[in-house]
Amino acid sequence: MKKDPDQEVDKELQFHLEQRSRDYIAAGMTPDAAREAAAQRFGDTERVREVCTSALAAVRAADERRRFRWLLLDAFSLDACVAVRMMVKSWGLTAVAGSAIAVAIAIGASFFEVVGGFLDPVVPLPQGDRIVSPLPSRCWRR
Amino acid sequence: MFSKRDAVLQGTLELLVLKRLSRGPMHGYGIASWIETATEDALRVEEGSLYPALYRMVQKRWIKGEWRITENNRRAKFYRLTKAGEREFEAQASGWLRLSKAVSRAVTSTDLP
Repeated sequence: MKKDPDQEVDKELQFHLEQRSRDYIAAGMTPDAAREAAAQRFGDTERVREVCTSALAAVRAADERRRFRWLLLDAFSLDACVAVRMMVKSWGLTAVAGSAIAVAIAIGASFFEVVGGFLDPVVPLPQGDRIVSPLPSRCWRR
Repeated sequence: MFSKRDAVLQGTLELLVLKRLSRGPMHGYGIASWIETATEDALRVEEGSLYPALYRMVQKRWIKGEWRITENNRRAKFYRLTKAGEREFEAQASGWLRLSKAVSRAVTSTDLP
């Protein structure tokens, strides 16, 4: 379980100050003087805490986004695997479905060709498709 | 510009942190102490700028922090280099060596126009 960013930064800075105090005590200072000297040496604890907390929060948010992207990719790849496996397993159905799609596309394409030829004819000249009518289509229809 | 005990310059601090972590994981206090002993007390780490620098480096994904138990049985956040951090260290170290060599050559040069 992860701690809150501000708690984590607090614990880290606290460890630093305690270590420093211990060194000062070992060098002969009284515990109170050591604590005070450690804090003084550290400087603006409040500002450091603020900067570090917001940096840690940003890192956590970026990690979360990254994790979510992987999760999504994972789910999609699982779906794709299952789809391929099922298609291989019932290959007959896959063949029927595949040819049905092919026929449908062929019908659609030829229909489009016929309708297109009728509604938007190409003049039988070299680069005939570049010839346009200067009249607005409303006049042309009349 | 250069007094006896200098505050570590910003970019240099990152390089020194990378150097220490290239030898193995360490907590912030250990990194600060190492910089002071390794530079024979010539450089003093501004502790107030060490932690923001560490968190900045975490954000750049050069280092990663994880909580561990110290030899004194205390919980501390240890930092270690990532693969990107190792590459960054190589790049920064060679850049620093090139620059410092060039500057000292110029500073000690006797041939002036």
